[in-house]
Amino acid sequence: MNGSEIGIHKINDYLWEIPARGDMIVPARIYADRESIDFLLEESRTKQWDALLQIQNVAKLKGIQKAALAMADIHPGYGFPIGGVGAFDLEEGVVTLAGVGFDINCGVRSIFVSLPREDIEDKKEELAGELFKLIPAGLGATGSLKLTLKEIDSVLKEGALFSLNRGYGTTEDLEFIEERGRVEGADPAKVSIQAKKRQLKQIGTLGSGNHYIEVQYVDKVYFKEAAAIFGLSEGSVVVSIHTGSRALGHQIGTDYQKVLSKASQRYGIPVYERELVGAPIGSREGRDYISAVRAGINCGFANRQAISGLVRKAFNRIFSTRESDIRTVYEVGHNNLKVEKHLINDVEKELLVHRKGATRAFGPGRSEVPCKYREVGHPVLVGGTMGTASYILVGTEKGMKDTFGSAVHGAGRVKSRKKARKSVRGEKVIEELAEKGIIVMSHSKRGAAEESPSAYKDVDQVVNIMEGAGISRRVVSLRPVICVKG
Amino acid sequence: MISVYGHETIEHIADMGIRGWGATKEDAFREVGLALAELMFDVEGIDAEDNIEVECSEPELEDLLVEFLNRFLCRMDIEELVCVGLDVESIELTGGSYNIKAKAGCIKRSGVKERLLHEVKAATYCGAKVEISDSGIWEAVCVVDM
Repeated sequence: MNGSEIGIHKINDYLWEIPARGDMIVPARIYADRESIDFLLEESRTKQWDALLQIQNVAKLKGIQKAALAMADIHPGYGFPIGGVGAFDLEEGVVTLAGVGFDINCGVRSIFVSLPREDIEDKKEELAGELFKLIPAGLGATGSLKLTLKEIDSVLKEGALFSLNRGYGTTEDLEFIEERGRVEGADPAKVSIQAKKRQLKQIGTLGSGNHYIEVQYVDKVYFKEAAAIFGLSEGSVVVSIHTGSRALGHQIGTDYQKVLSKASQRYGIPVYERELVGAPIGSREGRDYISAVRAGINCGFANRQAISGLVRKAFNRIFSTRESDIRTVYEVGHNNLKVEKHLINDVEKELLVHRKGATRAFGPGRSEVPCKYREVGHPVLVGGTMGTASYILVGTEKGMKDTFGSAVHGAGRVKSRKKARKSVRGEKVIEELAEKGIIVMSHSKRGAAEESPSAYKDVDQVVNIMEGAGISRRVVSLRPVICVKG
Repeated sequence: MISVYGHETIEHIADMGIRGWGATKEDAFREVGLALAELMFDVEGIDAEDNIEVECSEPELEDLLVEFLNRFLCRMDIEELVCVGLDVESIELTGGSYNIKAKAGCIKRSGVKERLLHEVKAATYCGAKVEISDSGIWEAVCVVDM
């Protein structure tokens, strides 16, 4: 389809709209520049997977408010595009599995390490080796926590606190994790035994694919005041952990696919794509799914808290760091479901906000933001591709108004895994990054090829679009020196 | 009828498609299961040490395909197994539902860690189809989330 066929028009250089038509209740709005919109239109025309069609389908879901939104890292997902945001009225709206995805509460934690960058450079091979050794990653890797089913129930209720109580990380971490590392309303009884059994040895594991740990340094400061509030300056050393709720989250998705398929039939919800199934938020199925997702969210928090403890251990072994030398800057998820207050026609309403491959980006003044950061908003952690820049952003008041306080989560893929492997060998990717001073430790050479920078959009472009649109602002850019992958 | 079967991976922007084909539904399901196993593990030259059975029922063949692959994934994960062979004994329509019975030859993961390739989260409905072509070959396809 071309732009005129789907009625897409430009609002400004960074925002496009498909007006509501047919079954669409609200318009679809896509944050993109000319180049990326042309790419999406071309994909629409030639490929089976079509992110523009998906965002239009989201706009048809009952109770959706304002617009179905796609951030600048938009690419096709399962029913809901990656980079998609949909906020729903609690009385009339639906909850949809596609708006959360399989990796519930996949997200990023960034940790500040009070060491000079030169110290890291001097020992980076040792540090890389220690991180690679200590943090289980890749298929089949198991964590040092071997839990019982009863303990898994505690994970699902307690979130990051579970791992903290087992000696991972510090109490101070909790203040700088969204929701303080634990959401209310998680019900382990709504999570299947299979999901729990799959998770028994996976707390404290990284996973694979695009999950990673990076040791980074602040390359450039863009927003000095915010950087100072976050405790960052040029050359600051940061460790970023990207992972989620592991097998438990995946199994929740699989289990509720069937439940919500039946619910869609029962409640007369049209199914435009098989994963875009759902239930009224207040229905039994809707409430069960939301409780299960909250359990998955807590699992993601527990996992990253455990891994952060292992990161501390690695630094302690190489640099003899003290507890106070390492602190959490922030942790935020990008596959999530949250009840939040937002203005709809100048009236504050509680909405159920789905963010699928989109990061919450609450700007200045919100009560959900830690006190220390409330003046500027919380850090928004955006991962680049392997070996390229990552960013810490902040949300804006315009972002709160236009996107329910949402931003991008990463760069978005442009090449399939197969094409990426054909175009470059994993060993070559690792060698080329080593020449740039970046050590890549990967459990899979194939994975290194699939995650090579050429397989992804340019993260600078994606961040520029959101800044150009006034939705988020760059605080710092980060460059990697070590990348550990599954 | 010429007996022909096989499997392959196919393009997907973020994850991977898997496709199996054969003279019967059972062949097609077996082959797509092998495509999934080979995506996850390098199984060449490895003999099974044990067998597990996977059985499930669904009203439609596409639902059966996704459910079968997800049950398979779940068992592999929970029991920490690598699948080195697969046999689909039957797919029968009874009482309005398709019922599949399959047996997978497996070994423990701990013995072959260097052969583990990709982690697969779930089989999805994206592009899922089970159909017979005009030439009489059954095909089973879906995308898996990695």
